[in-house]
Parts: sequence; C-alpha cells; structure tokens
Amino acid sequence: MIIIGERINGMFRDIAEAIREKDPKPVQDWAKKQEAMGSGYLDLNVGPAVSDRVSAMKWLVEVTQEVSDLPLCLDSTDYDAIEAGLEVCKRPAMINSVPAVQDKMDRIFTMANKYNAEVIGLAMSAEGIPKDAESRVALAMELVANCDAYGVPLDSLYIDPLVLPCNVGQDHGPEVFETLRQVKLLSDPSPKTVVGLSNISQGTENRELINRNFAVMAMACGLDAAIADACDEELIAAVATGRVLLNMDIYCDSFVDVFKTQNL
Amino acid sequence: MRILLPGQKKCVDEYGADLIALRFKGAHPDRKDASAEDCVAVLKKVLEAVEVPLIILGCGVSEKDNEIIGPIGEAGAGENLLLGTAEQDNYKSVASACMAHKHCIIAQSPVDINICKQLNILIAEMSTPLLDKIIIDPVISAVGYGIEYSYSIMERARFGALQGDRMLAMPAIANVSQEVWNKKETYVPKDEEPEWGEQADRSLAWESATAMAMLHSGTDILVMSHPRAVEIIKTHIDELMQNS
Repeated sequence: MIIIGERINGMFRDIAEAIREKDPKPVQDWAKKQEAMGSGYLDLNVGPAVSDRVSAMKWLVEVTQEVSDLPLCLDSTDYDAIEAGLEVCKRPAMINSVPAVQDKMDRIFTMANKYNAEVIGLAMSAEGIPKDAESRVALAMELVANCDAYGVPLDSLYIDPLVLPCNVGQDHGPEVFETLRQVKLLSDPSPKTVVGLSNISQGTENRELINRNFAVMAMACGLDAAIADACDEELIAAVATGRVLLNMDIYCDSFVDVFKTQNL
Repeated sequence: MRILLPGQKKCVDEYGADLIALRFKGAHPDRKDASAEDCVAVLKKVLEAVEVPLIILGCGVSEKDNEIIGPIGEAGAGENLLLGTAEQDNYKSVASACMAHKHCIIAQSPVDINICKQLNILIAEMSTPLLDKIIIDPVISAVGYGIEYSYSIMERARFGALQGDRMLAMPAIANVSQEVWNKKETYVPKDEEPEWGEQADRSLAWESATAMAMLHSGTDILVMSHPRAVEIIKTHIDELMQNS
C-alpha cells in the first residue's frame, strides 16, 4: 500500500507560518522526514487560513520539489490553486480531489488530461456522503464513467469511499470495506482506492491504534493508498506487515526497514 | 548472459568463456592448506593470462576463506573481480574486500528466498554502493537432485524484482558444474549401469539440462565445465535472442 504523507498541511501551525513567512525550512524538513519513512507521495495543502491559495500552492510545490523527487498530491477545493500547482510540478502529480458532481468532474478530468495527472475521486455527491456500500459504489461508477469519457486512464483514478470517524459514524465502517472490495469490479483495468486514514479516529482516544488497525483491515479489502501520518512508526510497521501477509512483498527479516526504502 | 568455464586461457580462447571461475581448493586445510600469498600468486598468473573477468571462490572452510579473501581482493584491485562467497552468518570479510577494492560480491543463500533478500539488505547496510555490485547465488541443484527448488527460488526472485523489489533485482549465478559432475549419473561408466547409456552422452546431457533450466529461470552467469555443453547453451541463447 502506498502512503501519501499528510503532514504538509496549512492546518498545522508550523506549515501555516511557513506559508505566511515564505520560510521553506519547515516544509522541506517534513518532506524529507516523510520520504525517509517510505512515503510514496507527499500531500500538499495550503490550509484554511490562506487568502491567496493559488500562489501558496505554487510556492509549496516549488519548495518541496527542491528537496524531494516524490510525486506530489495537490490537495485543495480551489481548482485554480490545483492548476497553478500542476503547472510547476516537475513530474506527473495527483489531484486531490473531485466529488461525483458533473461540473467539477468536467474541470478536474480535463485538467488531469492536460497535466497527465492521477485523480482522487470522492464517492460523494452534492447531497453528501451516502450510507451504504451500493450508493457509494454507484457514485464511484459515475466517477469511473467520466474518467473514461475524458480519456484519463482508469488506473489513474483513486476512489475514496470516504471514511467517517468510528465513534460517530460507526455503521459506515463495514460499508467502506465493502465499497473498497466492489470498486475493483467496476472496470478492467479497475480504479484504485484511497482513504484519508486519520478521519477514522477523528475525535477518539487511541487514535494511532485505530488508524493502524483500520489501515491493515482496509489493505485486506484491496486498499491501494492512504493519506496518513507517514511519521507514525507503528503505522508504517503495520502496513509493512500487511504487505507481507498479503504476499505483496517477499518476506525477509528486515521487512519493516525494507518497506521504508522501497520508494528510494 | 554470460557463460564461464573453470580453466584459463584455453577456456577463453577456444571455448568462448565470458568469465573464468577460480576455485581455490588448494587453500583447504586438509589439502595443500595454501596460504594467502600462494593464492595471490595464482591470481596474478591468471590475471596476466586472460582478459576476462574472474570469479573467485574459496575452499569452503569459512575461517580459511576469510583469511585469503582480503589479500586476494587487494591483489586484484582495479580488476572488478566477483568475490565469493558471502553468506548470512559470514559476509563481512568478503564485503570488506569488495568495499575496499571495488569488487563485486557473490551473496549466497541456502535455497531460501527470505535469506537471499535479507543478505542483500545486510550487505547494503554495510555499504550502500555495494547494493549495485551484488550477484545472487541461490545455490542450485542438478537435475534429479532438487533443481525444481532452485528454479522456484529464481522464479520468485525474478517476479519480485519485476514487481519492483529492489532487494532482489540483482544478477544471479549458478554453479552448474560443481553440482553436476559429482553426481553418479555423470561419472559412472556404462558397464556399471548399462541402462544409463554412454557416460559421455549422459554427462553432457546432465550438464546441459541443468544449465538450460537455470538459464530459463533467469540466471545470468552459468559456471560450467564441458566445452560441448557450453556450445549447446550458447547456441540456445542465440536462438532465444533472435526470437525476442
């Protein structure tokens, strides 16, 4: 499973300050740390407190690329900011994200084509997040159909079944697992799947415990990627273990350490 | 794809060897117990005689091999030797010689893909640049003596590498002649086992079949003896390359 490191997000104070002061160091330190822990992508989010999201995203991309060759995941609801970021990306990036809403899909899949980008598609509509797996899968199908119509390769699409916190949305858990399984049946090649892992433990105790168990359970349902805390040692160890248990990586005694180096 | 013969100038000039394997059997304490200096002298003679790369294999006794490998590595500095044999519980002497004098390292595992991968990691931990100088020796068996296991290990290693596992994406070597020529099927004469047919044909077939199976499993370096078996394999390689 690919870890998309989540730490470069303006909702964290150090990143918000870095963006404000145009100080690259906190951003670059987190980029390097997350890469050293085996991240496959780096998520970049300017955060809620920025007025000029376009130049902030551009700046984040530029300073991150100075220290890391990892592909970037541009995380924003402001599509102008995403496009500005894509323009300065040295290599194909990932667009985070688009819901199953027509005018948004039109904009994002056009952009994906233009910049050869991967896309995270959210299994939600203008009405919000549905409850059962069937409804989530139906929305995923809309994303797949639009992706295909715009000529974006289907395995560049990552469906996010949308994880809700397990204390308040406990009944969504099994539906999310079922959605992950069924999304793989939608097309050939099938889309990939992704979750925002930290959402499962929002507002709970024992967050790391919940996150890593959810990650491994989701891997068993075919999860391909997770936006997560790449610096959580036990999470990375659990994911490395999951890959061995699923026969995705050949076992060796140093299987945890090797997992961290796989993207280098 | 390289083929090599234990031997020297004749092997290169007449039989078309791409590399030469030097097996320092004389260093064995129960044989000549040759010293490091003796081994270095032999190495120097061979280096003068042939231009092809050399594979260096010890006598099989770890303590002795650890003694001779350093001086051999030093004497061969600049020659990009293939130094063997590093194992999971005994790799540091060989690895040090490779690090110091920029040689390749033969990393041997006992028909075990997990140990194969782990040994590569251990070597890389000692020296990151050595990662690009590792040759995997999965320890093969001859036809009839467990070649299927060798083949399976190579298959898993190759698939793993093709799927992105950097710790298995190394060239591999198979010691065909060592495994084949001590088996009774290759040396027993026809009058002892009449149903087995002529010894010459039989032994040639045994070495060729073993080498060919390992070739198909993705092995890069085949250590062989019989010139005619080498011819057979080389012809086969040409055929495979034409069809690709």
